[in-house]
Amino acid sequence: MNAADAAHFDASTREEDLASWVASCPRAHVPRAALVTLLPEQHRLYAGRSTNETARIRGFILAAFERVGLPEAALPYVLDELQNGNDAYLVAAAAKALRGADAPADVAFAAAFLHTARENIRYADAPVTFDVYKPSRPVERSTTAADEIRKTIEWIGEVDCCAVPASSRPSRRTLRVESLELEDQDGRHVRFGEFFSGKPSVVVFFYSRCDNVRKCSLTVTKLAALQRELTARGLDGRVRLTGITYDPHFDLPPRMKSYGLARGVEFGENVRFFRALECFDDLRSAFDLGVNYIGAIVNRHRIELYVLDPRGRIARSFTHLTWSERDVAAEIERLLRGRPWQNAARAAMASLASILIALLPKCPLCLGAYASALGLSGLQIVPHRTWLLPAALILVLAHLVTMGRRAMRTSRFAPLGASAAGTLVLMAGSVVWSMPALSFAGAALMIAGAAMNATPYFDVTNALRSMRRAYTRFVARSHLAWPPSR
Amino acid sequence: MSNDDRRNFEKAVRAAVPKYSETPTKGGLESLVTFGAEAVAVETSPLAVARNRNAPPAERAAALHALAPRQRNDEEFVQLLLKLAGDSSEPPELRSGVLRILRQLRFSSVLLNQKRAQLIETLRPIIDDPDPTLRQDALEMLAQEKDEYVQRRLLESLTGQAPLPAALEKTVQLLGYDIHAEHFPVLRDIAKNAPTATARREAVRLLASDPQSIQLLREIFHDKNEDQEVRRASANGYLSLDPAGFEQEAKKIVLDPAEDGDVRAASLSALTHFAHPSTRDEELNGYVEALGKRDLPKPLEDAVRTYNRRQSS
Repeated sequence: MNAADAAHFDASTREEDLASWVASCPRAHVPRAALVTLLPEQHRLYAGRSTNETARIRGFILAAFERVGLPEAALPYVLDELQNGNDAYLVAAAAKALRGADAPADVAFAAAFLHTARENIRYADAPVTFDVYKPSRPVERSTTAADEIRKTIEWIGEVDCCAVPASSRPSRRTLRVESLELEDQDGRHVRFGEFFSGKPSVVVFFYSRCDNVRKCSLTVTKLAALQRELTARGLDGRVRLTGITYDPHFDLPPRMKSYGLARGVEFGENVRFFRALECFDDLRSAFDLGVNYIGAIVNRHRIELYVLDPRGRIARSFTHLTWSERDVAAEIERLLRGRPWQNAARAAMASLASILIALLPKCPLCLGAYASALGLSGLQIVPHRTWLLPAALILVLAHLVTMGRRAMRTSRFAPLGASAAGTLVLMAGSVVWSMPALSFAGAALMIAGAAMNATPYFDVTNALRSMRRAYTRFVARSHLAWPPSR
Repeated sequence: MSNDDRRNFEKAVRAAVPKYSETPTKGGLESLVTFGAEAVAVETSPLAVARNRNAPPAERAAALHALAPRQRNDEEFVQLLLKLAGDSSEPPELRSGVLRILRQLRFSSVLLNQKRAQLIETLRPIIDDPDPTLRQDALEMLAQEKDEYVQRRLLESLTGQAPLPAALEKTVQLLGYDIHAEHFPVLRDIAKNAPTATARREAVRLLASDPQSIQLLREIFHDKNEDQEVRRASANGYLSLDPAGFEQEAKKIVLDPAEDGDVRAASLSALTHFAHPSTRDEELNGYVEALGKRDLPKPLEDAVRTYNRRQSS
């Protein structure tokens, strides 16, 4: 047995070869770590395999933990099967896996999961065997999920319980799928980036053909419960709740809608179900979804819920185990409150902006007063520095670039022209000929350009016409006594 | 057992016997009832009736049937049923009757549902029994349970690795209980190449769950040489997977006078009830209105009348 082999297992690996490799794993740290790497639902090993084959492989791996030892990293998969599994082979394997712990006390927290599994499997049990992989005839010496659960409960015995491992984890992952096109339950189209921004969002994944009622059906039912919980907390309208299907080619809008309505979801602008039309694979890799397929049919998936922040980034994920509406609602409240340091920074920025606005000169008199103050304070005698010129040039260039971008956006090029002309005049007056008057004229032109730019409805033609009218009136008053006095 | 109970039991046995034997003999029935009454009197347990190997199999099955409503959650009764079903030394007629009772109890007996593992363990060997009726009964029950072992065996038979356990169309049908049964590639092959229309129809019917088969369903829908039933099944599947695409293709078929009347009727019905209003455009409306004035085969005439009535309302 070579633990490094695990890295090479993929869709082309024969299941019998894999089973032989699993069966040869000894009780040691390296093999058990190698086995865990094969458990994620999205592993390439499961791509293109049937649901039955996927279950056979996973069950055989889980059962092997009884022999090789149970690592902590395998617990989410083991507990998932016990809490949500409906396949007797996988549930039996998960129960066996727990007996691979070093001591019963190490997995005492799993007792509650075992009792849940016993209830879940009561009417869905079947004869299973782990002695032979994929038996070609009905085996004589078989066990059942109920038997394995009973054995593990007895093995754990009466132990004071401890905390259950967390099923959620914080993360801060940016999803690069802003342009991905989604279609909702009413057939309306929207881009991912357009919808998932501005507010926190909850995203669950489901598919209407899922035959495990404790997974997709329960997830969507709980989403409806979460909707009611958020309404009770006065948060409806401040959060988006969405379900995205794993099965976009089958879950057409009417199917998504009836699936949600039947489970109590009240659709609205902020509550929608989606299917990714063309690029589901992009969505799948962005979220790193725990799902795999044979053809267009899901062969295995986990429970998964993601809380996205207002910028559309994953803030927290709840996977494998059933999530609680209260935990998700609490996470949303936390997001809406923001982080303490973010709040402090935002408050400081707001105060600073208020101060700057207060200090800015807002009329010619203020400007005069500021100039006078600066003159009095001796600012005019700032010594010449060699870096002043390049720094000024960089600022001027930045100014022109900003003006240019706005001109492209608004198709108003007069302000840019004024600023560009001003820049040339300023450079000529200060760098080429050392003519202060020319420099002042250039600076004035630049300021005029900036002012025109800042005035959305400023029309240069009208401005020139107004100036000409004012000049004509001035000349007429001075020389022609026009208009005539009444 | 009181006299009333005994009378009711005898009545139930008499009523149940015809379910288990096409030609129940009067003498056999009388002997059973007499035997049952004696057994009840002697052993106090009505199970003795069914346990008696000397009684005719149909009557024994009938006795069990009569007991089932009262005893469905009785450990001894359920264990007897499982034992008789799996006992290859018992006559097939009795075992087949017992399987029917077990199938009914799967819906009504909490105890049997709790013994699902034992039931499956009992049924699995029966799929290799020499009796074809027993084999098919066991296959049907295991397929409904989505049993991994039986799905694997069915697939092996469809891919030529083992003989078919039942008729081809029945084998295909049995896989249809579970969309996760990894059968779509095999079904596509059967839909294209199976020698009988019934088998092709069953395969096409199941392909309605497979988005990767849209193109194949479209081709079958358009294939004028294909059997009408198969084409109609393909229309249903195509509509289910790609309603917009189906509407366009169905419209072409309705507008094609060279098409089969039944397929045109089915297409027009689908357009009447499911199509987006924009598909029912002036071209289609005008054509169907004109069709209504001609002599048409009955199904198409009905479909045209319904369409025109719906459009005018």
